[in-house]
Amino acid sequence: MSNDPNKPPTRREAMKGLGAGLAAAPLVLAGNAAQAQSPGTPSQGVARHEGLRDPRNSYPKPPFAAQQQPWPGLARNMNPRPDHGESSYVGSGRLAGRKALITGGDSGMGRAAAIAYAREGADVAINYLPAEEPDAREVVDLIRQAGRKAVAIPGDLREESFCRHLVEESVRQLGGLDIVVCNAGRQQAHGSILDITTEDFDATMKTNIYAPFWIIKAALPHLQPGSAIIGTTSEQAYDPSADLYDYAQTKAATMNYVKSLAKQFGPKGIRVNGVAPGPVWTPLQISGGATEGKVVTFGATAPLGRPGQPAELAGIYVRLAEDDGSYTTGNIYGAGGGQGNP
Amino acid sequence: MRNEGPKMPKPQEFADAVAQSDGYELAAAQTALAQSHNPQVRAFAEQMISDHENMARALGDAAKAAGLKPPQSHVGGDQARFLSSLQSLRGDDFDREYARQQMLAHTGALTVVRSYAEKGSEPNLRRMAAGAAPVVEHHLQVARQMLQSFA
Repeated sequence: MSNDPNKPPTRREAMKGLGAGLAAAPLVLAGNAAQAQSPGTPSQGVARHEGLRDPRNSYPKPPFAAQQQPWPGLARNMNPRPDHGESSYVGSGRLAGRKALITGGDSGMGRAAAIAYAREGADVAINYLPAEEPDAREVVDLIRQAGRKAVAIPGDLREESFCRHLVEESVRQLGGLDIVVCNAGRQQAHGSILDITTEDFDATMKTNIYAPFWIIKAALPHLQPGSAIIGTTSEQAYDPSADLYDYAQTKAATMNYVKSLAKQFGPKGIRVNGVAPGPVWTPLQISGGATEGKVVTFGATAPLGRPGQPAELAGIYVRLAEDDGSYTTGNIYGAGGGQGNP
Repeated sequence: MRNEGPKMPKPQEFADAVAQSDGYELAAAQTALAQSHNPQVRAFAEQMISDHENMARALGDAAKAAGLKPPQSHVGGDQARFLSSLQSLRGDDFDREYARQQMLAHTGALTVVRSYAEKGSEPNLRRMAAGAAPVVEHHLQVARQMLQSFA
């Protein structure tokens, strides 16, 4: 154990950290040298906490400060900073030796998954847009601090040639591939269908629907039985917002392709599942995905009274990738804050 | 990827957002008058009906002057969820939730009208937004006090 706030925490450290307010603040870890997690403990991956923790008060609540960033936005410039489990996620070998590719791994759920996968023993390649490099550097450092290999492959998923390159490069640098997380998404709110240009619509379709098609197609020849594919869908797949006409239908398509490919790949021993977040505090929302007024009250209407944090979904991405969940395929796992979907 | 930048709502989008805010405030206040016996809540609700009816008229006039279709007050988006959770509560639970929603909804509404008053593109709507901002700010202050008194 060390006093380096960027080192993955032990379980005991994570317990202490949970009470310390915003998880983006570095933990102070002085004087705990004897309390490292004992190896081989059959624990869960997510940070343990003694006693009950109230889900209403575990993370920041609205109202939030008004804020807008240019697309695609950076997590590091959000107020409050999202929690991706940097100081709380504790691994226990659930993905030991696995090799994962995560699109949109620089921020949001992809980042939470990348941190968790590395701490569970996987080597991780992340893809992101070049403009997201500052967030991505932090993730690469976190993966390396977990003692795993990190591969950073920036680029725009709207190009088929790049998607093929992304998979080939991941396979080459990781020495194989057995987890594919198609998570990157484009979301821009428009009050009226009349305001959505063909260019806008095309960018959303390319990023959210074509890219998983191209990536999974390129990855399939490399995936051995036991591999897992995970798509990030949304509550929007089931209950679309009026101003997310284009985005919401891509999430419905994601929910659907998961079920189709699970049938197609089941006989090959490859599982395919989806994750359906409710309102989660990510750069998608403050870079055009939600209106300024909605950002201020983001998550307020969820029965838990607050948005989810990416860290709260990390364990779901682990669950759907690990061998222990081997009968789960063609399913959607929700984290909706009580809004009822999926 | 194309850099889209922080964007201001278009005039019609802004008008629709205000109409939605008025619609929710009116429906929530009517729900409060039907379901709450708390004098503080009832007085606030009556104030909301009077002020938001005025704001809806001012919005209609500004929209007409701007050459837009006059937006109808309506409940939509996230606020539909607010309203449906309100409708299922009674007693102290209702009063607390109404106060919480009023604090949050007015925080959002104040952000929207202030921002348009400063940077909006349509002059009639900007004037309307500038006129609405102090009223919304006052509602927010009272909602906060109400929420604190129920804590």
